[in-house]
Amino acid sequence: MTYIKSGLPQKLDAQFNLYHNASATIANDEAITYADEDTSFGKSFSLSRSGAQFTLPVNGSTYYLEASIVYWHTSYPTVNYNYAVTCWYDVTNSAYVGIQSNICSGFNISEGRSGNIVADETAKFATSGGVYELRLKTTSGMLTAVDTPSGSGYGYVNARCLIWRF
Amino acid sequence: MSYIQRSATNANTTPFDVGKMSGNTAVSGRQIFDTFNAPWLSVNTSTGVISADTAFFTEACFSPNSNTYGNSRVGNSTGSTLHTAGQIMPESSTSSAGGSGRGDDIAYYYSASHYPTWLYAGNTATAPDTDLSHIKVMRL
Repeated sequence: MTYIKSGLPQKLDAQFNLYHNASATIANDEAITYADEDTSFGKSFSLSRSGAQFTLPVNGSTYYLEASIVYWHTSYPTVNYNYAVTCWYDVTNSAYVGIQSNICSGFNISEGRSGNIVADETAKFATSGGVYELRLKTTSGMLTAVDTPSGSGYGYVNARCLIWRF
Repeated sequence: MSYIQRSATNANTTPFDVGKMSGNTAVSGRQIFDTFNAPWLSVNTSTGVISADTAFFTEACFSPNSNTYGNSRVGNSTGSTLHTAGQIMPESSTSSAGGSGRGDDIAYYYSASHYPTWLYAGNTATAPDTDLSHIKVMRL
């Protein structure tokens, strides 16, 4: 029979970087830049980035990337049934990687009522290293920004990008 | 020195948990996450605060128990920023419902003390679907 010492809850050996303040040129295949990093949680790690690109060093760590945007539009209330797709992009190999996201417009009627638009709003990818950026893969045409402008009211949130290191 | 028997599902040692709402514990009229397995996590049913002796990361998913219209924000009641909050927009056939933007549903937070709750609810039901509402917990 195997025993372990009691009273020692395990911890996950991980750190995370949280980026926000997203912007992009609104067109298919454009990179999304997160301008700011939130280091207030004290679990961040050093990571090189330039513009939209994150350079993840190959050093035995595993990185888990998850990012979301805000589908923002200024054509209220005529934006029903529109959406945007984001996906992580391998810059070195010029290829989309991971699980793409799909985010609908702000109208409730648009989510789940217009064909194939229900999906996770977060693009995900796991890797041992490389150069990656989040891209606006496709949009149905009504998107005007990938983040909520400041002072937009109580119900809204902001885009964010989490990069985990395990 | 005391010992416990090792188990593959030993809740005393795992750094992970998924909490739920029983639907029977409300703070300020809103149901809280009150059901956990990890013994290193405690719930204050008077305040809705979940806490541990060290910091942990959470991903909170809220779901109303009815479809309506509106635009709601969820997150940690203290220190929450818009980039850690989640946005809840239940499906509706009301064509004029909603707003100008839509973000991720999930609320993030990292601390030794959390109070994940509805921060703002504009014409959106806050009574939970207790099957769908959940909170992932990871001890880092």
